[in-house]
Amino acid sequence: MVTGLAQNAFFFFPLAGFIIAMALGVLFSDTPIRALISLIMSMLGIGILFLAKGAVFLGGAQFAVYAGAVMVLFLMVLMLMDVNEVTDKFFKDKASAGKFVKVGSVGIILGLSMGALSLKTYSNAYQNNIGVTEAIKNLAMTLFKRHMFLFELVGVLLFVIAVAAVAVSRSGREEL
Amino acid sequence: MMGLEYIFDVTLQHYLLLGMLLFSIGLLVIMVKRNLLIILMGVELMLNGVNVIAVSFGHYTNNVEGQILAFFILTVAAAEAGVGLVIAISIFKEFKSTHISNLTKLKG
Repeated sequence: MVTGLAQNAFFFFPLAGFIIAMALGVLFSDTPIRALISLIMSMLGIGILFLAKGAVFLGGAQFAVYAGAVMVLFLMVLMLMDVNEVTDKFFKDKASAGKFVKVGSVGIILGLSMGALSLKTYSNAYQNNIGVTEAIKNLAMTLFKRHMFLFELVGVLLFVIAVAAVAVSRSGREEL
Repeated sequence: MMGLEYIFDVTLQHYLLLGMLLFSIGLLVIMVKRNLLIILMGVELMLNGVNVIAVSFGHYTNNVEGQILAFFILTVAAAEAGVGLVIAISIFKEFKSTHISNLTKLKG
């Protein structure tokens, strides 16, 4: 398992600062779409943190489920609601939008270079060590043996939520 | 120099502090903001703070239970986001706005 990275101060403090700054971006942004993009950045940072903590599966799930699915869902709802207001405010305000894009790009490049550096230092640990696969196997065994009932319960919950979402969004239509 | 060493030695406390900060910022977002969508984002931030703490404790005690907890929190958070967004869409359909003052008109 890659244990050294999580204890590395030069890894932790920039990443933690990035996560906190982006979380504060949710608080201080003036439009919902900026808050959303800040939130996505924060989630990506937390995913990197999970990877460094040896929680490889959870880091991947963080990227795929949170930063991917849930945030795209938010974006879709945002666009569905007030698309004109959102896009006008975001694109007509050229100077501010440009600054925002710059800050976002710097964030992305910072994250990528940080990841590349950490991979360069720790790639041997990933390649030579079967600890990562062992950890995922261990996680799967615990999840599907000890917590099987909870897993099924969560599946039922997701199913009910899907049905409820369809039902709520279709209710109130008189013509149906 | 003792202080510097203390700062540069990243321990469990640093991660717990990060999780607590995320939780607090999420709570602040919920209390300050008046847009329903941004309030939902604040809830997501709070849940992520809890996830960071859970994974950090799991890493510290060297077992996978923390990751299991974080996994279930993640799933429930996705479900919660779905329901919250559907409610937000319904409110927007009714009032053409997602300001939370509209929630007081939902009686009956």
